[in-house]
Amino acid sequence: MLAAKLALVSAEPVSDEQLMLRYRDGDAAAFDELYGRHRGGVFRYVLRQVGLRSASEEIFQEIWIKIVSSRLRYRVEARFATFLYHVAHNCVMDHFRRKTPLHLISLDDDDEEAHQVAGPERDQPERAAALRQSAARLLNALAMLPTEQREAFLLHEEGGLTLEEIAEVTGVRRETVKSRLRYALSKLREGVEHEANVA
Amino acid sequence: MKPMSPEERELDSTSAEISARYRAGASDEPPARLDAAIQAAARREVERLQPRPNWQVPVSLAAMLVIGASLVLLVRESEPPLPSLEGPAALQSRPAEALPAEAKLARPDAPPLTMKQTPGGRTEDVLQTQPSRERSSRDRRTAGVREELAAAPIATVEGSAKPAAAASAAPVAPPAAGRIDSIEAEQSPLADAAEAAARKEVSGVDEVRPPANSGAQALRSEKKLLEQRALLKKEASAPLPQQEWLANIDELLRRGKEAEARLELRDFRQHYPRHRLPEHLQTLLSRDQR
Repeated sequence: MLAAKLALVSAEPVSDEQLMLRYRDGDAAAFDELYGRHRGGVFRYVLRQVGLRSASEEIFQEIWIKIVSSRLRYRVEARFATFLYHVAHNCVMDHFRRKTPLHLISLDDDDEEAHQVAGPERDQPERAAALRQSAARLLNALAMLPTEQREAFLLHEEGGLTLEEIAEVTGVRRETVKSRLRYALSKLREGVEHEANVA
Repeated sequence: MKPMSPEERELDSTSAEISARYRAGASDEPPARLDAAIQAAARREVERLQPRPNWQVPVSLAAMLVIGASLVLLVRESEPPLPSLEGPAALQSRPAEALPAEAKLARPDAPPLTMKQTPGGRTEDVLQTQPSRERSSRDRRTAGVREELAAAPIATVEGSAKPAAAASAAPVAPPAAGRIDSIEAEQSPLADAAEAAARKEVSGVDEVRPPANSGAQALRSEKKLLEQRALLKKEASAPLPQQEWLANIDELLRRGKEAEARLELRDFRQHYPRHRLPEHLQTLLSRDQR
């Protein structure tokens, strides 16, 4: 009985906060685990906001270097995801302050980035193509959103942040976040449907 | 993750379709080289701040200990041994047979222990235990005072003036007095006998022996004597007050003992180099220096 309980306890995944604390105390493997959990979400958050892959990679690297260098000051005051996306938000905002290019993803199949967006379902070429086109439309609609609404959507989707956490990261009230998110979802739906009708 | 509020759940349900579409195309990932670079940076950061074995602290502590210990040893070796206050008293309290040969030889130089007894029966015990460098001058001074006392019609009778033969009859006397008598007898029996004889001549008063006491009384008196002795030890180590000392020197001069007065004056000057001397003493001192 006790062994089973212990097995359950040991099977429980270690939280992000615990991993970061372990990394702070010198456990490099804990960082690898933490990085593995968040690398995709953070990268996409940056990519969807910035648009350019090369710039996104730079910002992505900058974000993680900031996390690494702030490890000794890290205290569990909020979820690690909130802390991470706060850093990411600041880096993206810094980038926008420097220059504000917005790169639209092409629907053209020959475009390299469009290939990168579509990934799964390779076994069924027709369905995969449909999904790819649908995703590309959504991403285009996302790119057309105002920055604040797009960011609220991305923080919700990629970071899994709650309304309060998004409000904390972006520095606005919770009601404002809710409103931004509603507008974003509504516009994305319209955009996807419109493009589908046009097609 | 925190539990969702009803509003969030509503938002989630409305965005379910959008979310599914988004996730279908959300497969963008950072390149492997970027992963490797970031993870390497993270490891470097950990290694950079890893506490290294700190050997400086224990080595410096050990060095400090070694230097400190050697300094203490050096100081101990170079320092002359301090004269012990307990030494002479301890020597006196032991019987002569039990003492080593060097101690026996040193006995004549030991400070004299004098017990005075007033006519009222009060017993005073004087022990002189000043350091050896002061001892000779102190002895001279006390010799002068003794002579002075012997010359004057005295009201006190010195119990210590008993001859050595009297000391052997100590069992009759109280233990404390007996012990002190025996010590005194050991120290300078001949001198004391002569002194007692002189005193007897001058004063015409025979020695007063303390009455025989019971054992408890004897213990009490011995305790009292020891306390007084400890007190007098302290007093004995201090030089005489200046005026008293000068008065003694004057008294010696008056009695024609100029040589002794000079010695005392020299001694006085050593102790009080800045004290302004009366003219006649200054003259005596300058003559002495010449």
